[in-house]
Amino acid sequence: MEDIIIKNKLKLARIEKNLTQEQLAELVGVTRQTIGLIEKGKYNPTLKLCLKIAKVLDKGLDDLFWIGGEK
Amino acid sequence: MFKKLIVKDERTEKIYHEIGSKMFAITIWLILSAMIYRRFILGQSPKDFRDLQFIIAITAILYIGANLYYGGILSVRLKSILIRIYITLVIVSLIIGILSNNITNLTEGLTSIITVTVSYLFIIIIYWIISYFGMKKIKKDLS
Repeated sequence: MEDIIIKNKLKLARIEKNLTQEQLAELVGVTRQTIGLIEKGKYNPTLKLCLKIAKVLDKGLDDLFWIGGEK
Repeated sequence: MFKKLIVKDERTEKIYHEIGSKMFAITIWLILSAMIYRRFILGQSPKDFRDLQFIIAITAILYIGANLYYGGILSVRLKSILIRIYITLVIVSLIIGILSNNITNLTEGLTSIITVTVSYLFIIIIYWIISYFGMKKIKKDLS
């Protein structure tokens, strides 16, 4: 079974909210590196973290994350 | 001051667990290599490294047991899994016994077969009990 790649519009949504990676990391309780890796698509966040990020950025889960190849 | 030195999140926790798993596997392989080296290169008797055999045996038993308990193996597959584990353990032990010249005649062979089959049967029964409690735990979590 292939690894599922989760794609995201996290960077765009973060910039819309005028947040730095560090600020967003602080708000959702992770490290800046984790946010950076999520934005680059090199780390698949858990559902819990995805929901936290979506809440902070005032976005729906589907608006921010999707499985690679579907959009 | 010290709180900020170690910043943990889900990603770093995942990395710690992956490293832990890999280091565990490496450690086991190193101990097995040390045993093979001592037995076949240095020519030591297995009695000289009983301590390493004990570590490997306890580690393997606990590892399989923990997987059975927390994995919640379905009862339908459990029987076939345990039978396979049992047969594999018996055959591997007998082969190792023959190769390390611990079994040199029929009497020793029969004694080893009885010892090995009874010992492993005991372990398999323990595993069955652990799996039973593991399944109970999962059923409780699901209710």
